[in-house]
Amino acid sequence: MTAESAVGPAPAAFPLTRPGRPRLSKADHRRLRRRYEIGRVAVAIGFLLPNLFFLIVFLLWPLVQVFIEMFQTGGLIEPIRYVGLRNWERIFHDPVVIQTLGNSLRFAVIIIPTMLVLGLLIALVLQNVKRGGATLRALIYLPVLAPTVIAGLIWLFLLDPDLGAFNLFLRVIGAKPLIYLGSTDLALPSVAAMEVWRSIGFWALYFLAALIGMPRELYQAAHLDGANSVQRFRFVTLPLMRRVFLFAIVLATIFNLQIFDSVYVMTDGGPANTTATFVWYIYHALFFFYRTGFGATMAFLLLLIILALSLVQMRLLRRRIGV
Amino acid sequence: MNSSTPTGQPVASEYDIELVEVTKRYGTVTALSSVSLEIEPGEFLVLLGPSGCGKSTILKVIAGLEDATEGDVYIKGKLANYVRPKARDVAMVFQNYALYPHMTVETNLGFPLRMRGASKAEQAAEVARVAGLLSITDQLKKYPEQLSGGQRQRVALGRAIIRKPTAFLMDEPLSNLDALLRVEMRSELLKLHRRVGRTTVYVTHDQVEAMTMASRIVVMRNGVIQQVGTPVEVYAEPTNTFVATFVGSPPMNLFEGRFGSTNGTPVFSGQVTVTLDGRWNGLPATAEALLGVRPEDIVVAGPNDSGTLPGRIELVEKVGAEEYLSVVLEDGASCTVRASIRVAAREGERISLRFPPDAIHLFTQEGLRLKTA
Amino acid sequence: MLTTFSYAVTIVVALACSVPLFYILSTSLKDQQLLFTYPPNWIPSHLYWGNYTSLLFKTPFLRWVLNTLVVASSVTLIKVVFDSMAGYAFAKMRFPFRNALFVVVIMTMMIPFSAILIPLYFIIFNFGLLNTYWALILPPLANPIGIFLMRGFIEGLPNDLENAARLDGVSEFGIYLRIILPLVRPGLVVLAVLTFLTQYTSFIWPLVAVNDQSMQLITTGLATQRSVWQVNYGIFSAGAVMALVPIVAFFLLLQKQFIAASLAGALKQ
Repeated sequence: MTAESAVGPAPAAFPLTRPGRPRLSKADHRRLRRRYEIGRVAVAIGFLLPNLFFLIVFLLWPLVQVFIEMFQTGGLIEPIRYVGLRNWERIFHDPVVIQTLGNSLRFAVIIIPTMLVLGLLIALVLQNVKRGGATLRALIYLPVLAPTVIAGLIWLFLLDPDLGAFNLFLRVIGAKPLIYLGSTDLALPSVAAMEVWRSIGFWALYFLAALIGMPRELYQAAHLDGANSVQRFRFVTLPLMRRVFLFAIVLATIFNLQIFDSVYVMTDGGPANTTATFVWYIYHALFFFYRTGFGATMAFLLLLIILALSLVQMRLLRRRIGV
Repeated sequence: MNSSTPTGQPVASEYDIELVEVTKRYGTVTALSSVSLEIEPGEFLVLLGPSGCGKSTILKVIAGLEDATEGDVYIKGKLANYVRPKARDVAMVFQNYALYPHMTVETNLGFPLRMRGASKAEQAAEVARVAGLLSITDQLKKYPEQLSGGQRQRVALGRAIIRKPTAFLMDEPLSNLDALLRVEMRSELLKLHRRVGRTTVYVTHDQVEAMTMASRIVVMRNGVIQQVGTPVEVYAEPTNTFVATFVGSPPMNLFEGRFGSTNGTPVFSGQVTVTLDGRWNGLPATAEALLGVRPEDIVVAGPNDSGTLPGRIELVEKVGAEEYLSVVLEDGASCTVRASIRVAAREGERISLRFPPDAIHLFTQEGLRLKTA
Repeated sequence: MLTTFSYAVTIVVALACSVPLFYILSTSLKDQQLLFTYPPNWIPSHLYWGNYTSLLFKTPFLRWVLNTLVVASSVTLIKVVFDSMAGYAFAKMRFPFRNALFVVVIMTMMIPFSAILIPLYFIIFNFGLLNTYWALILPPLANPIGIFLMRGFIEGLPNDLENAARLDGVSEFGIYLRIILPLVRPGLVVLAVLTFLTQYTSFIWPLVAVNDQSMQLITTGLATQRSVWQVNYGIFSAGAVMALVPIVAFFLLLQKQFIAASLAGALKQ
């Protein structure tokens, strides 16, 4: 449709198609298009296939299996039987499960606030450190590089009642040496301390990156408006950091729920399951109790919790920074 | 006039590129609406229109970078809709040049030949030839980021030329250059076209570029072709008010009113009242019409001349050897007049204007050209 | 004033973080018996290399290092290739269900590994691949974060570059190889560092998938030796130091990429 014809002695229409110009039929177009498209889609599939293959076989298929195994029992030494929701019943009545949930909570309460608040503090303070800042930052980040197991081994040594540095230090100042990992009271806090030590560098960096990303103009405007540094912190930094902080909390919680390495190497869940975590118990369900249905149910529960948290995370991200 | 059979056997066609009722939709948005074009060999066809009118989309459809939703595309008589871009034998110069940043100018230029299996010697020879043609021989070893805008543009041109394609497609190649460079490159491009002689389809939103460079102009708006014609045709006989006001700077003045005859003489009355000459005889009276006259055609008359329109100068914009006068006429309508500085206009002065009869355009209320008998 | 406080805090934290590592280093160079000295001396008066020689020659440690390197390198190499290909497809190609598929990819990023531990074990068991390199290399290839990262990097490349290449006669794979890959090199490095780091520190899966002493990785090897080495902290320290040295060296060389990789790995969005 181009210029419509006008009134008047000669229409102002401009000829589009020359008469007698046959066009390709729609049917022909469909046929040729399909061939063309298939070629293109084939190429795309070629690029995607390797990755998709692994994704399906080693991630999605096991996920489906978890769902199925939830309703079964046996597998390793007994034949498989369907037991419906009995696994879920068992889980909620298993005292160890309850204990692991409690432990996870306790871990979270000790680790998350300490790590995040300290991390934020360090980040804030790091901004004022110019000379030697890079070196100091690198030193703070070093523990993050250590695999959790190695960090656990290091702290195992530090916490040794006879040879460890902590008790050595206590002896030097004349205090009574403590039992850390062997004590039902101190084991969990000790492991928690190790986790904090290991991750603080990461969070300091995370918050530092967020702080650096803060728009300069807001600070300048506040400065011009007469705000001093404390006020600037309270009225500019804090509100903007709120979203960053919330995100950090969710992220830290997700990490926290999956604590395994440190517990395995330092205390193996003990003493008396005081450091048993959820994932640690899943591992044991498989290799020591051979109760795969039970383990699968726990795994599914973990999955639900973490999925829920991840969705919260995504919702947080989607919301724009509104001050 | 001729077709190609669905199997793609080319049949002799006098056109290099043809679009037959091509429509392109992106979801619910229609970028091109039943566009038909025949592009003649060797011509310099300019697609002109405002942003978003679909001109770049036409280039992409011709090149195969986008698929037409409906319609046929023929290149040298052969159906091209389902032919891969590399097989269509067209070359494109992109708005942002799209030079490969990690390759030297030399490699960039030779790349199309390399992909087609040319020997190293052939590549080198052609690269040297094209570099000489575009005066970039000194830049061959450099990387794109080391070049100026104008140089990058030449490399982009060179990469297109080196393939000796059926047609060149250029997507606003000059819009990223500064004004001075743009004028220079415009004439260079024209000289190049004369030398190399290949069909060129050139997209721009700058009507000056279109008017100076094109052998034919296609004016587009919202995916619909408004007019196809030589620059003179588009300027002197615009098919609608969009074309009339888009081409020509400052834009054509338009006045509302009605067309009728008084005692056998055709007259336009409304925001302005103008007696028209005999060429409009035979046109039936219309209740609503538009009268158009270009600022450069309006004549500044003496106060005592007959048949003039009195008015008052509101604003004078000095533009070098001319001035653009913004004049308010008796009935409140305003118009723009291009006058030479010799008129010595001053703001607030009274002025008399005359619209020469050959310079008057009439349009329907919807904006379509009314033709003289 | 604020600056002094800032320096004070930073130095204290830096010390708290790094001193234990140096302490381990010093312990690894001390003779086991000397660990009982009181007060403890920081810098051993006499460097004792016995811990290291025991570690390297009397334990399977070197074998573990080899395993770790083989696994980490393989996974990194394969992942970089496959993920960049998939990332390119998602970023620049048009195919049906593209958006839906990508949403699936994003959603799988949220699945914690421990949730699929058990069925994954059985899958590997049923393929007969327990205790092999395959068991360690294949499952990590499923991690979708690589696709996400690469798609992000590739999306940033201007479309006209590939369009120009298409017109120049390059095949789709050619565009991937010659145009896209060279231009996203920083992204490839970030992905490589992230993948390598993840594999190096991987623990629970190798623990589950591999039983033989000779197939252990550095992490699992050291962790499972508690019963064997008991309180020989000297050897443990030597092991810890040797495990850390490559990463620390890597870190000091590639600080920027490391940090980008860690942030990317954690944020996952």
